Amino acid sequence: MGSLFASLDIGRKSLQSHQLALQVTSNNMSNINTPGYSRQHAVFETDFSVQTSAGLIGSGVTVKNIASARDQFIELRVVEETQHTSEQEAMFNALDQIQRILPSGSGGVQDGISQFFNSFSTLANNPESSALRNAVLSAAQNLATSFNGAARQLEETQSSVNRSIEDAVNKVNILAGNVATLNQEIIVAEGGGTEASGLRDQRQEYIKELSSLVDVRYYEAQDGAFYVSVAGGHSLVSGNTSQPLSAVPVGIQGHFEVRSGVNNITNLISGGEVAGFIEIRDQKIPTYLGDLDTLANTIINQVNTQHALGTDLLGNAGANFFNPTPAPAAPLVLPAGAARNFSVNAALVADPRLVAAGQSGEAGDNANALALAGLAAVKTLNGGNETFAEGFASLQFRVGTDTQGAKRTLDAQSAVLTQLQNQRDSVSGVSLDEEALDLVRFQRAYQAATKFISTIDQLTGDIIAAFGG
Amino acid sequence: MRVTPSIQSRNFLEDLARTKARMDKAQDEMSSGRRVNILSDDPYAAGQASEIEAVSSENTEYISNNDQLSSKLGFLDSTLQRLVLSVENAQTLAAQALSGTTTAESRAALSEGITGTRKQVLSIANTQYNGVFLFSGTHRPAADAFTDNAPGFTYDGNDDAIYQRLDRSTTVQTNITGQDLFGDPPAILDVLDDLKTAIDNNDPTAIRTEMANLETFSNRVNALGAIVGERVQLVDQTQARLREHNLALKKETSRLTDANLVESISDFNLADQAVKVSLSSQARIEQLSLLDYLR
Repeated sequence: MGSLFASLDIGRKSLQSHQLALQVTSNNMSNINTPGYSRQHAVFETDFSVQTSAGLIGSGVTVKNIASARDQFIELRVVEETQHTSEQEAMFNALDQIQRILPSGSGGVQDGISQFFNSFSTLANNPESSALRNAVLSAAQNLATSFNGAARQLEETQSSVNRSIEDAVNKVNILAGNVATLNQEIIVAEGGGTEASGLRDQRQEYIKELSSLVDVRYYEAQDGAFYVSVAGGHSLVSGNTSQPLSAVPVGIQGHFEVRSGVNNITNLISGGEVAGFIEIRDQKIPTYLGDLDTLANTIINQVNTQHALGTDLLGNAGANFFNPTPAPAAPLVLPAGAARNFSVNAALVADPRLVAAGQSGEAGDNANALALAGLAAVKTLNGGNETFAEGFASLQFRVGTDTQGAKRTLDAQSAVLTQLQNQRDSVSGVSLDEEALDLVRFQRAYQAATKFISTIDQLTGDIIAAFGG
Repeated sequence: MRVTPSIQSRNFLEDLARTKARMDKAQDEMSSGRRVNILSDDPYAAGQASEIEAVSSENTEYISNNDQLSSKLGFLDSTLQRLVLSVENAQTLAAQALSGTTTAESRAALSEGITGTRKQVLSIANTQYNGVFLFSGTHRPAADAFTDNAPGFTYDGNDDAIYQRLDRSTTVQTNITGQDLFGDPPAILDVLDDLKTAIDNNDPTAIRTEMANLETFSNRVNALGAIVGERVQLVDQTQARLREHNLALKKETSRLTDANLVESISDFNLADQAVKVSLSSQARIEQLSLLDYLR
């Protein structure tokens, strides 16, 4: 049979349990804006039962544990999609810069090509004119400057992306260290059987940050520690230790190679910013630079060949109009590309009479100027299918298509990620309305427990008074 | 599905960002007048416009060069006309010499007239256009293209044609060489020398021979004039075609890259409304909380 003092104990347990629940509510409300926070709730259960003459009766309430609302599958999907989204974002940001390097209109390569070949057309009107010869050389220098500028800007973008790879690897190592530290803390904290919810939230946030950088895979061991790997299985975190990656500059360009221990994992990284940076640095920019170099080299060769067939005003065969692209030397001296090295023969700039406008040696002969102007209409690129202008337009089309594709993929990826984050928040996020309701519920329960204790206290007092106390 | 403040604010911010991006795009189109401002706006249109721009620039250069060529051919034509007048003058003088009523004095005057005509022809033969001899071929003589040796002359030029490309596929000869006009027999300067001698000698047979030569030369000049006229016509036709082509290219560029302003303004207004509604609804949602109703 229960006693009044036992009832007082039930009241005490109710007070304590609801006070704890109010603390949980308060903590939830405080962390409403904490990234990665998973809402918690007190799990109430009836305390042990005691035998009475009428049967078993509970001995009040107790908080069994503080549980977190978490869906590991959704969190895993968030991590996976973050990798893809970050990869596309890195690619789009770089491509967006690149597409502005190759614009149409005044001052660009396309304009430079047009103005250069047009200048020969004008020279053909009056081939001995010193002013028109200077105009040809000026247009040639503008063309060289536009090629140099485009190639230099592409190389600078490549270099900037390369530095970003090193920065990202450094961030990966810091985050991996943080995960390892938290693994250790979680193992210790959960050794007593309680869930280290806050630490887990924090660790999940680090994993999410990691996934924005590289293609992480992870699983949870029985002791609660995360084992994290990158690039298809290279260990990054094992329990309470991390295996840092390294970014090692390789070759004359100093392109960073990402290594796990001694293994080169650069081409194995398939997600996160780093994968996007590598794709831009090693695939996209070299392709664009290659196309630009091919265009520049073809112009240099075609113009030089035709120029050599002509005769200058001094009666000599035409010298090289443009300086030939230097063959790659060993060791490679940068920059080596035709676009980057595009330059006009200084001898011609110094003496415009060396422009070979004719073919007979007569000053009024414009045959070679006409032939040089005619090169603009000859399909010499892409296996004889494109003129110079069409070749550059094709490069613009490729860059535009790549950028547009990256943007569309990024938009689609972002929508998927947003949906997953919403699903994650739907499970784990804090709702103020819910917390307000809980606040009222627990407050009322607490007030009821207080009233109950007060009533029992009064009853106890009455009994003591009845016995002449 | 539980809807938490974080979901609401994320969705709100992303929707707002998308709508503002639409506004930004519409504003960009309105201020630039172009639908394609960067390559990724429409890669196909941007690539096509770039190619068109190159062709249009080439056409514009051809048009400018052809305008100059047209002036040159016009000048060449008027020079030939002057030459025809000089030859007609010589023919008139020769006819007078054959009239049978000439005296020694009148023959001397006629001979003097032929000398004057020859000087005119020599001057025409040394005509320059923009500082360049019109009839010296591709050669640029240090002095005159035709030097008078009286009798006879020396030609310091060559027989090389000069060509100009009117467009990508049409090339036209822009000159008549001194050899073709004045050098080939009957050479007008020699004819005039011989005519003067014939008049001085009162030799009707020789005068008739030179009159026939004058006629032959006159026919040659007229034939060359007709060729120049055809070239002028070809240049004019090409100019019209090039201008037409550039207009078509401009229209095509406009179709590819220009903004439809009505559409842009409409897009902007829709996005503007969407932003206002979105901000207003979010502000109201933010104010709704159960906490406000609890005592």
